[in-house]
Amino acid sequence: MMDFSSPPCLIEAENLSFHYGEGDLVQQVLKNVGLRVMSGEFIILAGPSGSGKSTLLSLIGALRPIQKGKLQVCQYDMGQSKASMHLIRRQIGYVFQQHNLLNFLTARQNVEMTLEMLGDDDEFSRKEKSLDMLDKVGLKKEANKYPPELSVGQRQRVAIARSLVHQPRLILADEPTASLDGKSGAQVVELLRDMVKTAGCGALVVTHDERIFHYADAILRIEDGVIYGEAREGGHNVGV
Amino acid sequence: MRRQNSSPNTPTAIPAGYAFRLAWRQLSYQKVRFFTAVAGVVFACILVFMQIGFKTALFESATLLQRTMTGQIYLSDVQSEAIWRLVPFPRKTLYRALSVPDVQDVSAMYVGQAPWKNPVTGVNRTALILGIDPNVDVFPFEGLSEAAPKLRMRNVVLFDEFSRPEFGPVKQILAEKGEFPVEVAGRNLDVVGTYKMGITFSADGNLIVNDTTFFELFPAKSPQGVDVGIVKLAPGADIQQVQKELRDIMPVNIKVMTREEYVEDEKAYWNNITPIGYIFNFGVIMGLFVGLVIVYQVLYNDINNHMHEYATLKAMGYEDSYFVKVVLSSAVIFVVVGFFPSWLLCSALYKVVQASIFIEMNLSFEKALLTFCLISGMCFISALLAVRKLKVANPVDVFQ
Repeated sequence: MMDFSSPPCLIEAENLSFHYGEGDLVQQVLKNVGLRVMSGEFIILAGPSGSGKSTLLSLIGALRPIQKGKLQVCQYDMGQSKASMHLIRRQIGYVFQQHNLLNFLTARQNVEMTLEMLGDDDEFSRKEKSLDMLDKVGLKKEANKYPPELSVGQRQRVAIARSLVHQPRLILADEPTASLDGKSGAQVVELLRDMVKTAGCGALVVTHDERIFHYADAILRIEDGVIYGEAREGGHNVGV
Repeated sequence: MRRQNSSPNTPTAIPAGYAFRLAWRQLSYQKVRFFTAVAGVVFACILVFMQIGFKTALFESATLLQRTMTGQIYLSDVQSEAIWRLVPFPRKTLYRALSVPDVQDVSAMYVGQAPWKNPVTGVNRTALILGIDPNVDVFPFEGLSEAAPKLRMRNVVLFDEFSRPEFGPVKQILAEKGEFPVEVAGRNLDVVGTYKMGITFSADGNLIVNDTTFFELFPAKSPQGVDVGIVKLAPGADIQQVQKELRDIMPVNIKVMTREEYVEDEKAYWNNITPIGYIFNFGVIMGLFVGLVIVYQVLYNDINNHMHEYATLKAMGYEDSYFVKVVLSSAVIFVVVGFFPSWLLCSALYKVVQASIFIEMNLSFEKALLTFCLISGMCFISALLAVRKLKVANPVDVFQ
């Protein structure tokens, strides 16, 4: 349930554990993870392959149910909200390593998919919002092009526009610069950071790309399912 | 940026129109592939239309005589299977029907098949020959009542104008020369007139002679044996009641049928006893199966090719039900885009076939509706089979 009197804490995890397999084949991926991400924060989560980054992101993104511990996302208690996971997902803007745009829709139509999902039934309004968002990612002129007609970097920016057009409270990004060159990657991260700072949402970005570390308010490192936090300017620890 | 009309945490049902539009955009994006798939559906529709058309033509032509005769009740031997496979029953049995109060009159019909020699080419062709009492008016075929007086003479024959052309230009010769001789079953008869009946799957041409001439053409048949008994009832008689009374007095080997039952009896022969009804039904099933495979393949591939995109949309908050709607919408599109051109195409094909086989092929609204329902069912089943693939689209996969 939403609690509008709560402080703007977007992610709050306590003793969050997760495993794959059963019996002798159990593989513990997350071990008593603690994490807090507030509105207006741009947090980077780094760690080697297999450290549990993607699993953590999928739990926060309401893509799989939690097993042990406590997790609140946008003030939804993930232990209680299994029936409405798709509603939690709608609070979140996802940016994936692959753009996964629908090739048979134009850039604008891809962005509009998010608004249609949310019941925005005013076609003119949807079009206007989508074009606004594409303008923010520098692709207004490409609004009527299909993904195969765009560069890889442009497609990724369209995917970001699709993720952010509904002004999500939380942005989750999984290796958003992995398929981009340095310049495009920097543009994408700057865009995400600008969204965080101007719209007041929060972002948790999983990445190996050290070139973008300097954009972060804090960098968390995860290894063998354990998060090692860093102190931040505000004083509180993001990783517990 | 402005806020949304609705909050993300408010459950909203995505209108079905959006799913339909997405389905259309998805299908029409690759036009060659789309038209190939539609061609598959059109092929299935045409197969179904034609098989249903042939089957209906078979039944309608086979029962033309039964549907046209004006008797209310018909008698035949239980061993009789079809109009051209009749087992005679005793004439005195037919006359026993006159003992039922509401029976006004009875008459006998005799049926045989014999070669007709084309008066121009001399080539023989088998004709269905009806032997009737010319004084009894139970065959309201066009032209028959005018020609019937001439039928009272011996060794004359009336020719069905709708017989296949291989029987010769009989009407033209009649118009030019008047009555002329032909050879039927090795005997010379005079053609004295024509009438309009229509051919069937079992008879390429039809002739009517009087009962006396009939037994001269078929000396092996006994005048004491009736092929079909036709019973006319008094005005206002209760057909079911008379049928019951007739059954009570008739031997067990006599079928007592209303006209509707007589029609169904003939249909049952073609549908159940001959393989033809089965063949046409099987053709319909094959057409539907081919269409089902084609539509399933297209829908399955569309889902399979967009698995990551669907998983991403699920991760964003789209529900499974939305994608089910997309797949079902695709099926609806295939039905609409495939069916209506097929309907038009088959309207022309029916005419072509009719001109070739000389049997009426009528593409009625009922046939179109039946085909539409079958094709809709086919596409719907294809969609349901393809939808199972959607379960594989797991949003977790997009984080792998």
